[in-house]
Amino acid sequence: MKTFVVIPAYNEYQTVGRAIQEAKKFADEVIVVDDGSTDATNARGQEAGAVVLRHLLNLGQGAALRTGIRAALDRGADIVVTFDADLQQDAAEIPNLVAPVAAGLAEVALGSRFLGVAVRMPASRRLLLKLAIIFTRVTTGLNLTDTHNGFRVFSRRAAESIRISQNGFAHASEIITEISRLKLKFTEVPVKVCYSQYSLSKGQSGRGAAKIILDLLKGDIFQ
Amino acid sequence: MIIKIILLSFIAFAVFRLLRRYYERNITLRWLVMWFLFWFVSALVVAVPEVTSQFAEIVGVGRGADLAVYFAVLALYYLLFRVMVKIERVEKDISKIVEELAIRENQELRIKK
Repeated sequence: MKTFVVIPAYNEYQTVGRAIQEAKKFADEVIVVDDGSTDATNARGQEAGAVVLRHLLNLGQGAALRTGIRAALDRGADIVVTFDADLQQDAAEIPNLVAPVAAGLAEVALGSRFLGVAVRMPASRRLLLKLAIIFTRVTTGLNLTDTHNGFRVFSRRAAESIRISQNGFAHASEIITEISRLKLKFTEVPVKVCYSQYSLSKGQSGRGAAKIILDLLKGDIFQ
Repeated sequence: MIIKIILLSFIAFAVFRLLRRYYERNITLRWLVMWFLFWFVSALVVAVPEVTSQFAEIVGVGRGADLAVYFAVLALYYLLFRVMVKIERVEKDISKIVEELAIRENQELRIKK
């Protein structure tokens, strides 16, 4: 079973190198999608031995994942792991998420920091995420403990059928909706998420959350 | 009275530019007719404001001026909606292009190796 790790990255030259090195230990190939970075993300990615695809413009994490997943499938991936470039996640847990999918017990494995461990999570972030969980429960009917976690694993079939149309961070909610729509068997796996000054500066904010909701509404109206 | 003259002059100028654009083939007949109608109604409302009151009475709205504003607002919302749809379409197209470029560039690299 060929396991590919897809890492969307926008201006993450400080951490993408290590993220790739760590991920490489647990996968056959690592694909980095440089989403129009203006720093050395691309070069670092190639140095670290990843396959790097480059967006000419910054489109958003959703678009980067779309490209990365497509590239992984093109190259014969049986299992697609999505992983963040900011070192918030622990690559050593990749096998934990891959296991249920490789065994055929689920088509999608979703990392959950609330089942696992969240180190140094600010209260505001916790509140925002908890609200997102309620929002997701109401809109999709799915009972998840962590709805906006970039650490996921898809079977080839799931990766092929899920349609990500949202370019921005709203893709996370969209993936959940797709899982519900396609009735894909999924499982949640506890993961550790470590917050640092660096990663917090790049994460979600209240305004970011408002934009996600607006993007989802626009997606529904203009689809 | 002065205002009427100024407005009507402006409208006349707008119609003139409209006709010019049409003859230069920058706009279609449909656009010409639509905009011409718009300017015609505007000129009518400016020249004979009482016309709006009559229309308002028929429709059951208080004042002609109010009716004109209601229409204007509705038209604006409609146009805004159309513009937003267009923008969404354009963004999707841009995304498609950027993503396709990324994939192809990568495929070329693979072939070279």
